[in-house]
Amino acid sequence: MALAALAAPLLSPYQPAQIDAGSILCAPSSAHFLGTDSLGRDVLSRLIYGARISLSVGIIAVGISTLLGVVFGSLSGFYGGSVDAFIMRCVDVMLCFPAFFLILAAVAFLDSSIFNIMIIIGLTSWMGPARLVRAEIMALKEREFVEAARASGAGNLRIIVRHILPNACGPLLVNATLAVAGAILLESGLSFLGLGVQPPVPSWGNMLTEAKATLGVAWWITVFPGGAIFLAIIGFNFIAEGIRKELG
Amino acid sequence: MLSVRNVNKDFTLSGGVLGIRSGIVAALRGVSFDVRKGETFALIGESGSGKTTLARIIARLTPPTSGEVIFDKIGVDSFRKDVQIVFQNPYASLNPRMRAGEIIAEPLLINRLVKKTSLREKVVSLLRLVEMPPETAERLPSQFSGGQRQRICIARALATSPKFLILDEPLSSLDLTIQARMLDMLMALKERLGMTYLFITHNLCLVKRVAGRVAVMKDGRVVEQGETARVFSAPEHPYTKGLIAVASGRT
Repeated sequence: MALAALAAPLLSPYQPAQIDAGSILCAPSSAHFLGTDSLGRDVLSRLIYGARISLSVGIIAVGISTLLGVVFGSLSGFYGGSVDAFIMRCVDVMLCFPAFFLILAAVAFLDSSIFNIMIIIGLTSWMGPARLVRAEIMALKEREFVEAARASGAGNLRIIVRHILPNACGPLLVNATLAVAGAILLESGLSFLGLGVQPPVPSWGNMLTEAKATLGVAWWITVFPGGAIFLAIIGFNFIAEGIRKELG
Repeated sequence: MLSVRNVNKDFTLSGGVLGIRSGIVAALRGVSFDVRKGETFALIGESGSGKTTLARIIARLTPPTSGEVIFDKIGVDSFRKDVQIVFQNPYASLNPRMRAGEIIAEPLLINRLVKKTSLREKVVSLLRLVEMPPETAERLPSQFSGGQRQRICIARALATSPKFLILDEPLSSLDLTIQARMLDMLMALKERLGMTYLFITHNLCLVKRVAGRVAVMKDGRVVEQGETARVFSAPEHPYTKGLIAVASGRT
């Protein structure tokens, strides 16, 4: 799927925004493998281009949240005491708000560009990784190899970056992979409500929105983007499961 | 060279919903002794007697609650270079994600002791010092046995050419044949590099073999200290007498 997204221009039989008035709402056929939508656009092409948007939103949003999580989690776990208490209370406060509504509110104030959506999803989902990193660091900082590094004169930054984080990255990677699936779903949900990626740029979520008007007569416009979301999420879950097993 | 003066260490136990103090455990109570330059000073005592806590305080990994640890001729700036520690458990004291060479090189890089170009050479010479072949620098800790890991730990501690080495039960997790070889190696290194050892152990035979003087700890106190020969031939404190009786009965 990721390969298809990268190779989108090569694979897509048509331009994603190309309107063909002669073939509106065509059922899947040899000319249009997955049919066309209400404006005569090729569903397969839009699906492939949509993968670019949906996957990159997912991955970049998770990149932002994991980065924030690592920074806050490290500070919290390493320094403990009042720093820890403050950051963890912030996490608790953030977790009290249902993320989806927080994002809806934020999107209402800002433009709903793809870029903003990535940032907003990232900013509202760093709490999980932060807690995870904190727990890992608290366990690791008591280990003797960390003590040995300190005895050799290593500073805090070096100890965190060289000794603690590399040993904490396994669970973090599993978490991030699962989170990508969550972010894709979130983006689809937002786009479905019309607050995410704006047409005519295709994303799997807004394809569903556009399709729902013609659901009764053209099943293929709904089923394929829906199926793509389903497959992507299952895929990321399997990858996470694989990493977890690999790490024992 | 080292003077430990009236060191106390309390651990606060916190618990309950609000983390209210629920008790204080005194790990060390008024510990004092001196270590002379060039000698091997042994610290013996059973598990939980505060030996490791004391080692960590001397290595400045944790502060004492009260009292002082004074090093002669070792300044604040060079402390991390001149005082090193080897821990008991070689399985926990090497970062599992770093290669042996990187582990040994780290103190050199932190203290800026060698140029990048001669780093490799220096790591190899440290490996030779602990009788490990140069190619082991590329291996991960998981590919070594316990004894080999402890050799890597010793090489790391020696990297900064320390004057004072704290050995916190360095042999107790190794099997007997390796223990004897490692002990010989450690004592040879001490002579060759002119170091002073603080040797923490619960193995009395080992103390008799290597230590000039000894301090006996029990429940956070030093109950007896003096020349090793004197302490073993004419122990004064009942705890020391018991310890020696048990040890001689066993061997």
